[in-house]
Amino acid sequence: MFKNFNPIALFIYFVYVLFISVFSFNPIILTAGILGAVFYCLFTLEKKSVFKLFGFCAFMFLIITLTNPLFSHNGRTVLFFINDNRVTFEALVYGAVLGLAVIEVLIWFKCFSTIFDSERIIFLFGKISPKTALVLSMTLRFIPNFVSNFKSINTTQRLIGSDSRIKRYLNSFSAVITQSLENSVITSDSMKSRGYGLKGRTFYSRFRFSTRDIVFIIISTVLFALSIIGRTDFVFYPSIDAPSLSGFSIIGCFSFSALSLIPFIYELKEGIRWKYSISKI
Amino acid sequence: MARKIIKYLITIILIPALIITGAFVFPQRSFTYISLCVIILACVPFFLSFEKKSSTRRIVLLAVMTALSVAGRFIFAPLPFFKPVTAMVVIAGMYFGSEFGFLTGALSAAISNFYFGQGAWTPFQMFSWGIIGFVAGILSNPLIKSKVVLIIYAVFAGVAYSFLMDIWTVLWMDGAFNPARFIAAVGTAFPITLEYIVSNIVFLLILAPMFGKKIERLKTKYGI
Repeated sequence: MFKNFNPIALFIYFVYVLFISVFSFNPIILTAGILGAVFYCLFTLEKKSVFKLFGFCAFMFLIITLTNPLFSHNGRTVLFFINDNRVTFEALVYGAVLGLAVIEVLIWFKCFSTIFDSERIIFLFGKISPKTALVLSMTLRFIPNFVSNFKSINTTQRLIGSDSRIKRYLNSFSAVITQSLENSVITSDSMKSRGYGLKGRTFYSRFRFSTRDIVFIIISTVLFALSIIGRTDFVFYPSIDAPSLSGFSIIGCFSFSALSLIPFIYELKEGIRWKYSISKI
Repeated sequence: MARKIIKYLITIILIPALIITGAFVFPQRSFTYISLCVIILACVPFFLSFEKKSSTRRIVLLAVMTALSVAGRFIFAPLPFFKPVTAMVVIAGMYFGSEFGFLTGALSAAISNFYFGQGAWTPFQMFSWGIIGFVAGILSNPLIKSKVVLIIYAVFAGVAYSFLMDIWTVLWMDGAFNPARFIAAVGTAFPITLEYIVSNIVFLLILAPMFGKKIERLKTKYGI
């Protein structure tokens, strides 16, 4: 699966794609990016959450497109007036492109969240900053702990029959705070006595860096460089001006499309291989 | 020595180069790009110094404070108007110093987004909560001593958080600062801002003195 690449390689890939998606203002590139992310989502996510995501995106797109003319009155082609303010065609189109840009980032971040679970994030940070990674992993463990502590304290308090709801919540939360602060001192003393922070200690990680990760990084770096070189922006104000299609810009669009389709193509390839291997058995 | 040279090279050459090239490559979105760069780079020194000089106690304490602020969000979810994250960040800054406050804020934002969804807003959220905790650390003496200052800061923190996030929304949408959109964003966010302010005041007034007592107790019990 695509998410089984080394987290470092995956992170580099996401930085490339998001870098171009967040800052580009070219409907062709944005559409290509959205398609790549949508195909990947359709392949990996549950149907229900995909529909929810797409519904939200459609809503955002409409809101942004329709409200943009209210905020910017630039543009040559006036459609009509609201309270002496011009509503222009250009502002409407700009809003649509803005909507595309926003939902593209939303969908890509959805992909990012599904791939980067806490384990991958901690692995990634562990390379750069082991202490921050430790804090992250401890925090993620503490949160469900504290919530369940709170629930048991709160239930007991309720059964005793004490106080109003709000007061009970606050008292129970205060108990959780005391408990966890005292435990933190004990935990850190225990860590210290077991030799945390001594020199020469290594960390275990289950992710390895293999040839396919290197190939993946090289391919995405080349595609990223090509799409940066060939990238063009559309101009919207005062009137819409599409950049002329030169060889460069065509290469740029193609390489970004290819870059954003990598996860989908990889999943497709693995899926086909899986089907094929079943039929042989 | 070599390490020092690399460090200076990064700060003097790499960071400005990153910003300038970005501004040239993305002429229409330069504001979005530069603001994102600056925000991310502003968080880096805090994490670097934490990496360098923190004891085991500080590490565990940071994890506990961050977990408390995120868990509080789940715990108080059934009650409207109760959102303790900002209050916990302010308390962390008040009692454990400004650097600690910044880290608690930044990590709370990053970790609560594990549950509520990461996005392009994550760095901005990290910075906004971080800076609220940082300022609380600077003002720690008056905040602990006077209730009036505490209430003023609770209001300020609620407003500042909303404003900072609205600035980011505007920068992201327009690629430049558009006052009309900013006013609209502040207007639509007004009920939420009010909710923040109310819950900040409630939580800080109740939790902050309580916290002071708990820390005194810890100090006498374990001799820190």
